[in-house]
Amino acid sequence: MTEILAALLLVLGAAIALIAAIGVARLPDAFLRMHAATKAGVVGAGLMLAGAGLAFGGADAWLRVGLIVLFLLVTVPISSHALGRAAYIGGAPLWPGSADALAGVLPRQSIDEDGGLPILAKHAAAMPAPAIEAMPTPPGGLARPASTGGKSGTPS
Amino acid sequence: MTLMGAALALSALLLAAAVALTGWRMLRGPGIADRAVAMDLLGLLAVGVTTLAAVAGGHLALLDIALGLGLVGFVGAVGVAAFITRASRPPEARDD
Repeated sequence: MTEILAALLLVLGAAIALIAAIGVARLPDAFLRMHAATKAGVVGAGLMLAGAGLAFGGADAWLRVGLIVLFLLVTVPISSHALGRAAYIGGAPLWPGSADALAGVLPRQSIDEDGGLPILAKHAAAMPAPAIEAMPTPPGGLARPASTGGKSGTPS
Repeated sequence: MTLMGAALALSALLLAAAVALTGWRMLRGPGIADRAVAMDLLGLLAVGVTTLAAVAGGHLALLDIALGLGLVGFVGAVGVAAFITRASRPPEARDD
């Protein structure tokens, strides 16, 4: 009975990890991909770890499994939040169907339409410039609020 | 025992498909943020693969390796996020 449950949990976890990978491959922008990767990925890995705990069955195995699942539950929201924030600031394009709820809250870099590595290109273009004030600002670019300090950009 | 063997083979197949899809996104993804997200998911899939190897081989120590892989994936994702944030600031606001 324990073996059946362990096998079921392993297959279920791998299937949910596959669903996360399908979401990462198929969803239209970086934020939706991050949404699929983190939640479904944690559930898939956690179910596989629970199956491993059942398959081993000892207290030392359950200690390791609980430690890994707790660690994942603590760290994955932090890393996904940091990645999503960095993607927004770096100017990753939004899917047209999703509203830009952070407009005016976080600074956002406008990127070129050709994809590629706009951040590195802009970084390299800004490096050999001794006179920064001579650089023309892009038409819609660098939409930064007057106060760059995080949440204080909302109008009162 | 043959039930567990079949479950392990099926799980390995599903995880291989997941790694292939995520790797395709990592190679294809238009922009560094998509690649960073794919790398984050690859870290989670590595935890799953190591867990599967631990069950298949009966080695409990592989679960410790899964813990280490999760730690490395977390640090890598936060590092890439800090790099993207810092590199996309305008030059006049850069203090480093």
